[in-house]
Amino acid sequence: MKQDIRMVVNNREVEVLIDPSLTLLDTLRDELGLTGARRGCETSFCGNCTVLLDGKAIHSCCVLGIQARGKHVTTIEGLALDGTLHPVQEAFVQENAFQCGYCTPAMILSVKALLDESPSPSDPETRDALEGVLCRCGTYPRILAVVNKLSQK
Amino acid sequence: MAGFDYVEPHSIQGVIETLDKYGEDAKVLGGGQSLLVMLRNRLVSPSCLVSLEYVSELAGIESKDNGNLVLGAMTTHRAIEKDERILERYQVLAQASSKAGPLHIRNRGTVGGSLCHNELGSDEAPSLLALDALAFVEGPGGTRTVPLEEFFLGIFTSVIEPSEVLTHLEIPELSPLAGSFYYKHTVRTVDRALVGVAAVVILDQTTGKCQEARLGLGGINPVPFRAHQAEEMLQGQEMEHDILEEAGRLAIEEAEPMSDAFASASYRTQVTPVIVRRALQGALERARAVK
Repeated sequence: MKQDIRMVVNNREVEVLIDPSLTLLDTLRDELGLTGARRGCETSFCGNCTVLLDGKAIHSCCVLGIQARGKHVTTIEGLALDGTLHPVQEAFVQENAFQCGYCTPAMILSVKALLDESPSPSDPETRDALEGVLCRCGTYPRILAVVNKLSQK
Repeated sequence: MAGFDYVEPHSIQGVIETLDKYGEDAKVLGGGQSLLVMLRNRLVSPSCLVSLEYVSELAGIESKDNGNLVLGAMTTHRAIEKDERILERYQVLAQASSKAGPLHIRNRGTVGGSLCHNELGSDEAPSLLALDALAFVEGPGGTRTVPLEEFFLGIFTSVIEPSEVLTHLEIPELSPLAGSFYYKHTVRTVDRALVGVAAVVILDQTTGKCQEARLGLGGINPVPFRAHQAEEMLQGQEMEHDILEEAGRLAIEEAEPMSDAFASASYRTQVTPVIVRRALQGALERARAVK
């Protein structure tokens, strides 16, 4: 039976009527039109579905939409402000830290979550934050450069 | 995934009542990092999911007056690995939780879920075994306690009955003289442990010999276990390389390694003694560093 769920998505309150079995990924993409979170494996391994839930990076394929009730969800669409790129997005552009772009929203969000929690992360911390997103194009070194660039000394 | 009823109780009693009502057709939902994948793959199809999210008694880490540590079943791996008390006194557990999957998974996955799911190679189980953890299980008949050594029955099977729920774990106070270390051996870091060894070592402060050693092993047998023979041998010994190697040999002797898609029993047999030695070495170094 569908349930009425209210959550805050990219700083806006939204309301959706969804079946409990609908994942957060499907809720964002199909109910809210936010397709920045990608379908990959849909079984917790690839990380392309990454969004931030109350500021923490999670795999939205392994969270039910209903579990996001009352919480804050941040998708890639929520980073730019009035057309101005978020500093993390800007750094990705400057470092050319993407190739096909499929994992890029997930990577950008994971970097944002990392820097929000740890403004000056160590190399192991950074690698740990990126481990949950698989990039087949091999952009990791450039993403490490992004974190280095943004890291506050 | 197939549809299901979704219930969000606000008390343990509410959880038990719902589980009792649905019988074997209901599953509890903790972090969902294992269950939702199984639902996705249609490996299970419960008619009801009982979310534990709003049951506040299941959350949190507490220090009791007697020095014991209480871990709520809904505590995430991430919360455990960052907890100051656990980082300071129960390093083996902090290490294990930090290796229980990528960060994205650790932000949601819970220690209770990991234990009840009992997938081969789970990281926290060996550490909690080495820390002599006690599991608290609540059901229609009341609460029962289960020493963690008796908690696991087989892969994906624990002593939890359909209408029961694991509420929390209690970890006895660990001597401040103890050094502990978790060594996870995998081929890819994102995998479960092929061999995971948790070691706790307490040294006699005068002689420097081993006063007590505990070894929790996972990923080898269908259930995580304590290597009691190795532990007994280590007591009173000088902790030199040969002795640590002997402990490794004894540990694999009491093991019953299994084969699966990730590694053969033969591989596990060869690798386990090495990992045991390394875990003991790590714990020993920490024990020696204690002032």
